[in-house]
Amino acid sequence: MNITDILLFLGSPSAANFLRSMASAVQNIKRWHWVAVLVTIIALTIPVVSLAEEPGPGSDSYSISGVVKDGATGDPLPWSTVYLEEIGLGAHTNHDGSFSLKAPRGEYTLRVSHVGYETQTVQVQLVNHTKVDFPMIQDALTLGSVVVTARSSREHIEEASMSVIRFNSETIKKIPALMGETDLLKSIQLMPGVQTGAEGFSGFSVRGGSTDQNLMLLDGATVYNASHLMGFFSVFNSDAINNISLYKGDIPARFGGRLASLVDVQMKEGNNQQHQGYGGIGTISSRLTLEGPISKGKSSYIISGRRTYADLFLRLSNDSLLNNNTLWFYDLNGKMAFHINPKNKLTISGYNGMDMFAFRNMMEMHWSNRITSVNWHHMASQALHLEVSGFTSRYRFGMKNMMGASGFIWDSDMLDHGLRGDLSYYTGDHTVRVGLQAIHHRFHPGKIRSLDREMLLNMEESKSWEPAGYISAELKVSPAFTLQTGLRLSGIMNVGEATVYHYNDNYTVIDTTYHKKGEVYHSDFGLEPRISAAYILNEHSSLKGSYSRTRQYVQPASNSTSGMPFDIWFPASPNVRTQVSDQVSVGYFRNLFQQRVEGSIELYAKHMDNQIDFKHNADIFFNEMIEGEIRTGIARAWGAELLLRKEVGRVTGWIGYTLSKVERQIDEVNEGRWYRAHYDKPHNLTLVVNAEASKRLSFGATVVYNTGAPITLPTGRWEHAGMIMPSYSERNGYRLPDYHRMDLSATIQLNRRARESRVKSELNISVYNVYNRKNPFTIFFAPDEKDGHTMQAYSLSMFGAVPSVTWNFRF
Amino acid sequence: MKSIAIRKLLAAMCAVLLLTACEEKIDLNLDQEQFSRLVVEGWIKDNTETQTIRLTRTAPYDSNAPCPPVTGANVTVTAGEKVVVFYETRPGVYQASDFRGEPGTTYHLSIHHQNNHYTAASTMPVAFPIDSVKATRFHFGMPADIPHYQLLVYGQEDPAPGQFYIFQHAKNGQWNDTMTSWSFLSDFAINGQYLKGAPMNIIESESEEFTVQLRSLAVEQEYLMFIDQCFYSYMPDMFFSPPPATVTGNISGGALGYFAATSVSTSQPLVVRKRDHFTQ
Repeated sequence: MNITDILLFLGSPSAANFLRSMASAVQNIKRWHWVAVLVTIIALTIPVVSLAEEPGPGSDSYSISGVVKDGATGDPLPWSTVYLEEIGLGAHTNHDGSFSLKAPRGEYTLRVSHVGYETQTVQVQLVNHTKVDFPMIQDALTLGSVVVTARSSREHIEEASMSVIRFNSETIKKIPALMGETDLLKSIQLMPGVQTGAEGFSGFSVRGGSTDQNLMLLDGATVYNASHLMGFFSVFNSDAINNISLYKGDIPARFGGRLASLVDVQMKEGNNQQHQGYGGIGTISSRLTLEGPISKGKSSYIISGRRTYADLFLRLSNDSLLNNNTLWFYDLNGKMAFHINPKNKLTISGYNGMDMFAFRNMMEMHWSNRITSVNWHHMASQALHLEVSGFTSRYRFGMKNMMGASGFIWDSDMLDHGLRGDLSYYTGDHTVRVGLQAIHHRFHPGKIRSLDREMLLNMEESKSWEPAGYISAELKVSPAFTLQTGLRLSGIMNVGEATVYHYNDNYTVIDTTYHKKGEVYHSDFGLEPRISAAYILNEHSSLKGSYSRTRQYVQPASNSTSGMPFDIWFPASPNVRTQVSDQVSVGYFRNLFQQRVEGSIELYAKHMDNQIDFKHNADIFFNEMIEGEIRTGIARAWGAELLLRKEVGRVTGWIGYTLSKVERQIDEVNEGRWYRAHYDKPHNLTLVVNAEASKRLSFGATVVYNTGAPITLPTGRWEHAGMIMPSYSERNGYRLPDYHRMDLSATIQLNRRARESRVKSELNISVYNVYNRKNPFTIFFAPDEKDGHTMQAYSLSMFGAVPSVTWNFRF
Repeated sequence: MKSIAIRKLLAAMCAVLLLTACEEKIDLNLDQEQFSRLVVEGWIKDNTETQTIRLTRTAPYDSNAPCPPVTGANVTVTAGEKVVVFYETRPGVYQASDFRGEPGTTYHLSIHHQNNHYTAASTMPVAFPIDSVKATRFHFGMPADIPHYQLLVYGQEDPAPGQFYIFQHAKNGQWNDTMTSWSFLSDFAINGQYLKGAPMNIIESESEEFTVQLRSLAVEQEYLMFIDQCFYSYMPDMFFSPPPATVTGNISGGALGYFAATSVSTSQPLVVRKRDHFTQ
């Protein structure tokens, strides 16, 4: 079967039969759990035996290691390919650009490649442990233009990992953006397997997971609310970001804590060769980044800020409902990197961002993220690398209601402290990683004070530890077969001081238990096996498969259909069981047109236990007994994803198509029948194109189509206190009309001789939803203007055609 | 009523965020409800008004007629050993005239209709006695050419915590019973305090002179939660509303609606003159 056949298959009625058979298969996935554990343990014995045979002095095998980095800025280049040609042994660099290989004594040709950079080849006499760093030079063809990705085409075929998408910030900047604000999370939404939560919002669903089941890490630190302006923008300022990886299912064993996906964002380290600055002035915001060496070649800094000014436009309005309001956010990213010596590197990074919304002198709402992380990378030997990191992540939310007699001030707070240590051992054909990590959660749902600052209600904090340990191995079993295994043991430990409520079958409190400070009153641990394998069919294609179990111990107290800034999270507990997901996926990967186009088709099936929902009309604000409002059930998802991605040349981009289904079953919803999840959109098609017309002019286009989102509509009506109230029969029984739009952009370099100019600038003009499609965001009802007894349906669309202009500069 | 306050804030945010949004009428082909359900709207008050319980049925959502009345039901309200029979005075309207409620008493509603039995219970809270009312000009967010006034209430709130109140108003003697015109107050932040001009209902009037009255209805917390859910259901705020669900009240047996006991305090009529608030 070739890709054409697969495309024809997806468009045929037999796709429905395929999905039905996947539905029955998904029921059995979780039974594979113990099989996977067994296989993992057996597989791990291979590198352990290999470790036992570690060559000592006088041995014939030696390691060759180093760091691949941008020669101009000193930024590490993760996911570069390092390849010993004579023996066909390769590896890719870690997120810090480091690599390590082991080979017998001899003379080798070592090739290092990274798309967008000139390939480097060096001759190596391997007679001892050797360290070689590679300062890479940007390819002349792509200098100052489209630098598309950080991985090589061969890696796409050979690496065992599947369901991984990697971007760098340059790719994202070329995609036409809403209001000209390039956004990492919006770019992710254009990839197969990822569904948009709602138009314009940063929230997304990955392979049937809900929006809170995506783990977002910024330099290793958890980001709880990655949204600005209620979700229209993400907290990730693309100027400060080096690269981003999205794991849609085959999440490495060293990560955990969420069911559906991992979004791993790495900030730039700063240019350690020369000072430079860049930024932009856009329609609703401006940004500025400065970076440079602290000590040339040894240490560097980067600081990047962004601020919106939408509220300035609001003040121009004549409408008293709109003018004189406050609506802004800012971001501040900073990072310092110290190459202490060839064996030690220290990075310190931070993020501080805040949103403010004030509605005259009546109400005020603000929320903020403050994140700090420290990472120490130590190369104990050529083959043994140690990484120790710690982080704090604080999310705060506040609301002030100054209206009426019952005004109040509400503050809530979430604080995470995390510490982890990872040890990597490179044994030539194999890589072994072990690690320990622990996160301490402190979630404070809120304290409420009167406007006179008198304490009215101080809700109890919840404290918990989320410890984990893992071992994983990447095994080159044969030149054609690569196996990646991992076993993670994770858990939750709830710690006092706490009051635990005990509920009967009707969710009524029947008893309470008080636990003193420091007492561990509940714990739950479980194994998470992860296995993936790649079998190389030929130079251009491979087959891959994976199984992974993930566990999630914390979740937000939210029952809205989109994320809210005041979503306060709560941990698994005696009343809330740990969420568990099992996923299997298989894929066919093929490079086309002389390796210029990467193609893949992946099939997946997923089963999720203990999925959280809330009872109808749940009371989730200021409710000490919120666990009694929770209803749990199961979910299942399955689908097929097709991706064709062209990463080199003057025309780049991708086509992605997803056929999928996701359903939930909760006893108290829909009378216990399966119902569509609100992010179930069976057909999803995206086309992203960037074309470089000349050295100064480039164009971008995005086309998006997907099935309309499910919606619940009323079937009956009744009246109370003069209002017509709806009654509903089936959850998500209807669908909105199909969604589609096209975005276009053009970028022109304003300097005729950009390379020679000290100050370079470009102008980006983009139009979101260029043909002004009125995509319904939701449907609502209101009494007819002429007849008060008739309810008229209205469609609300968020965005028509939205043009924007951004001026970017660099000096 | 913090959640109502939160909803107001969210509605305000939506208004700002929806600057680029647009709405248009559409026609939908909705499924019809398979079974209609009994709907109860009943009040027991501590004043001399005729006590009234209305019974209707749910109707298809796209119907353009009022919900059909339920006739021929047996309706009684019991307080301790006292049983009060409500008689059907108009189709679907059941009334008892020589009976008034008392604060602190629990009232049990019983409805028998077509072999089905529905029950509810509600305890009457203590009233919020209104000392006086003033009116002030209110112009925020309202059309500039139509005068709006906000009523300010004065009175001593009961020292017992956990009290909840609804405020309704009358203009020129005509009471407005529509939920959207009501104001709400929780004693959460003002328990036991004397309210000195707490802002309440907003009234629109182009008249040079008119009279207003304000009345407080002390209700159980459950009733305000029911009202809160009705607001969510009636006008979801697009972004933040939970998944739609039929609002259920305190009636057992599968019926919708609410049976509430309330103590009422009504202000003296206040004459409002436009010239006192708006310069000509």
